[in-house]
Amino acid sequence: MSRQSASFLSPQSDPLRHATEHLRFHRRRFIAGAGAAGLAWMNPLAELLARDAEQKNSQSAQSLILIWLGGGASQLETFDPHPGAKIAYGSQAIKTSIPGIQLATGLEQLAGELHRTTLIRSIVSKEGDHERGTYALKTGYRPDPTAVHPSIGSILCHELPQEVTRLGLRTEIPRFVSIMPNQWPGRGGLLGAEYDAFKTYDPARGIPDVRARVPEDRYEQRMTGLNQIEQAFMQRRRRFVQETIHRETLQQAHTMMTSDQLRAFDVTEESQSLQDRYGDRPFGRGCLAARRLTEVGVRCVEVTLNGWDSHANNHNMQAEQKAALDPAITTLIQDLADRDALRRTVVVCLSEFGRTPKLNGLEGRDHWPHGFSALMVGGRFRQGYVHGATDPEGGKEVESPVHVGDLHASLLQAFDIDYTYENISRTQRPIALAEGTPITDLYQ
Amino acid sequence: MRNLIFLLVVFGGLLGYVGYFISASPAEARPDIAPWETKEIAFQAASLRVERLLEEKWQAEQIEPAPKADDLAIARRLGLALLGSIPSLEELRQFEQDSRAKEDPVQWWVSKWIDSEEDRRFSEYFGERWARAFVGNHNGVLLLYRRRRFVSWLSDQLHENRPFDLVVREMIASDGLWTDKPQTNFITAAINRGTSVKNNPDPELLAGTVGRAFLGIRLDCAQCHDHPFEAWTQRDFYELAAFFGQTKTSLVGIQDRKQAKFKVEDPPGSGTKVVIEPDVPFLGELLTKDKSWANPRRRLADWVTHPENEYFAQAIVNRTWALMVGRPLVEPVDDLTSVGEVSDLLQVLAEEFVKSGFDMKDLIRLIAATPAFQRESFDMGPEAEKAWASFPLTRLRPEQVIGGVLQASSLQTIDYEASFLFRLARDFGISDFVKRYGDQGEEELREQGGTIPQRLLMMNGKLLSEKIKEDGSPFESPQQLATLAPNDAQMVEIAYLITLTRRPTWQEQKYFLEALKEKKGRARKRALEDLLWSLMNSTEFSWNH
Repeated sequence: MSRQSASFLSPQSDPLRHATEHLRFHRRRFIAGAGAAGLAWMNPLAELLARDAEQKNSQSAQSLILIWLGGGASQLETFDPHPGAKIAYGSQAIKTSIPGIQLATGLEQLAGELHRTTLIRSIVSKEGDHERGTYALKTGYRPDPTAVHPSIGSILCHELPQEVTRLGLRTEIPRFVSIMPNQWPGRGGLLGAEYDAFKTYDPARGIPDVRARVPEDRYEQRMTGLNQIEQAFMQRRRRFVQETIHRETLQQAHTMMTSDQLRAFDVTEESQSLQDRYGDRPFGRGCLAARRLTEVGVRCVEVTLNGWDSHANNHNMQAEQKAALDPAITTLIQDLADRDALRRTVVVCLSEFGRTPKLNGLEGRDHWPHGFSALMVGGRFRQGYVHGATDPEGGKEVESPVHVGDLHASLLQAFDIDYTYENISRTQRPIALAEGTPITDLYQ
Repeated sequence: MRNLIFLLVVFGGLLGYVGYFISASPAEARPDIAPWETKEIAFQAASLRVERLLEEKWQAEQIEPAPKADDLAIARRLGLALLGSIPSLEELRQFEQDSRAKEDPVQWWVSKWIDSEEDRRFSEYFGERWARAFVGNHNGVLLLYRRRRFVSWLSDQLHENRPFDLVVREMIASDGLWTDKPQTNFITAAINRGTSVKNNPDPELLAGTVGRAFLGIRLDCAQCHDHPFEAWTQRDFYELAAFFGQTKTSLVGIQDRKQAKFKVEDPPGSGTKVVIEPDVPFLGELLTKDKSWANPRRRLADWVTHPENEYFAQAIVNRTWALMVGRPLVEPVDDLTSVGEVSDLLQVLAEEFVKSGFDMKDLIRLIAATPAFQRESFDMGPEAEKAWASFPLTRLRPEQVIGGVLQASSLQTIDYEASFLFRLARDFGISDFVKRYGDQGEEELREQGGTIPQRLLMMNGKLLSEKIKEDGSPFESPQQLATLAPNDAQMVEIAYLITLTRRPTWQEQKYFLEALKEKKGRARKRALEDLLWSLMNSTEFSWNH
């Protein structure tokens, strides 16, 4: 019914499986139900189901850190150089820890850790506009006027539980965080606004709006007053008011405000030397905060580094951003490896599109969705593997193309999430979590 | 020194003026009700017809409707629906002191807000809401699309109350430059956002919008496959798109190029393209056969807005209802056909809308006059809810929440007489708040629960805390209340009026008087700040009811 080909792979007689099917059916209905969207996160069935998903495979990844190169990084000046070719326009390349594979200059630190990564050089998208491209790469779908697809971070929060058995805790802070987002942080879409990313800025500036403006005793006073008002409003409206889950949301907000887990945002708790290695920049701090957040069960952290939209003066603009990217992403990989956390944490470095092989009149490169790069580390992604290739002449044909939908199916697979599972949009259309097929070559 | 005297005079005058609302002394009636005698008889007949329909339905289904909501609760609904804000204390006092207001409170409020010559709050707010349906809230392509111009054009149409069929016809059929003819931005909004063409308006995207916004049908589902439940086929969709197949951008703006043909790959992926001629998916007899017109969009526009094309009136009425009540008559708002039969209430309202000559302000009046709009938001059971025998609780949009916060911080009506600088600062604050609260864009009529960041923003956010703080601006309500309210009871009552548009119950009054008891100076101001915080963080403040 809701499931496609994947379902016959598992034994039909498995009673848990059977129960799960049953629950899934309910959950689907639950999301589709008008007005009930706000309740979805606290549905005990959903929670039970998600816990089941987590326990299914203790080897599966638990958190995603999405390094977002906003504006469109140039594949030629980052992960996919073609030194010596005409399309390089003088850009140079360096050796890496994978024999025979080069990165562009400016990524010297990362080059030393490349053997830990899977590098895809053949991402293919159909969207050449910033907003639409971001939508495509974050959701795995092209924009559609009849449905808003959930972003990968929202899907992870929806599918994975709030209780983290491994850590013996329940996550009290938002489980999908976007650090220094541009205009398009990941959205919950058809899963509901409660799956939108929680937006926060340079960790040095603290987190917006989480500190009560009054001391705790006055806060209590205010809440008691609020109770009086709620009681009056509840008269003859009890069911309606309960359905708003206003009170629960307020309670959750307060739980977050007083949670010790908020310290995960505070990077100054780390040693000065580690902070220095990440880089004394907002982006470096963002990456460090991302690692800390995954340690309290946050399922997805987007860390955005903007400024790659080099329509003019491409080489210099790309170089400037690389200076921020290189130390932060390299340290993040090393830091996770040192903590033995790479198995359960996937790091993906991605852009909304790449840039044109041809340099324009202003020495800039324009938007190019026809073949660009993604770097993945951790989970069960292979170590030291390069997938696909772009044309050294600058043509649109790529070797072993990975379509945006395939990329998403591959990512969900790494979390043992059934990417064929279908949510029902409000137009009653079933929409799979990802429309592509996982690329098996990417896994160990 | 002269400046100081000037300030003293202004400030003193203002305090006197504000003191006047607080003490609420009887005043002369102010002549600010616009006459609405014209079309009165027709309107009364329509209103009676809708009233009968609902009451008979409730009786037949043995539904006990919720009691009639009190005047202030209805004023709050209307303010939120029409202005995106709540009534000010100034307006509430005008209402209480105007003897004519008692005769028909609902129409008094509606007329005050939608018929005013100088107050553009209604047209601006409603214009933005309609723009969401017509062009979404994206910024589109640089240079070729001017969303602000489109919205202000739409606001002008609403302000002048131009027949709505003409407004829609102009959007579909106009030629010209997007800067000079703002209505053409309806077309240019579809540049490079669809998938079928580049650098020109996308016919398929436009066909989808025409279906959803003007007809209440989702033909764009048929873009990929024949519609599963409806009679629409892919061919229907492409034929509708073909009306825009010649529409191109040029140096003189939007224009149709006669020689251009609309071609579609058939079957998809085959590489063979077939030419599709424009046609409509239903009611073909209403489409003019005369193809000699310069512009096929004019044929489409006439067909869409044809008085006998009931889809059009129903789609517009359904959305207007949703804008006013918070929930559409038929859900989802842009897909009337998926539920089978259209509700009889929608049908009757749509008929009256056509009869009135697509008069939007009349439609607003008519909806406000229905017994459904005037019910309490009490839980009378699911059947009553379905039959509109109680008013639904719906989440307010971010603009409405911030509108409420800003209005509550001033005893006077803010906005239409406000200075340019004030508006600039305010608009900036609003856009930041809206962004943080979470703008749902085109999805705004979908029902949503609240989110944690929204609560955090209201509990701890800068904007609200500055508006209520004990040592805030002397021109804002907390300071004025603390210094001018004659006693604690009055202060509590006004705090309720400016935030929740109601008076406290006796239990509430008792509780908060206790909290204020024997507090003086700063302590009293703090207690007031706490009261305002509690009021603005309540369910009642953030939900329409």
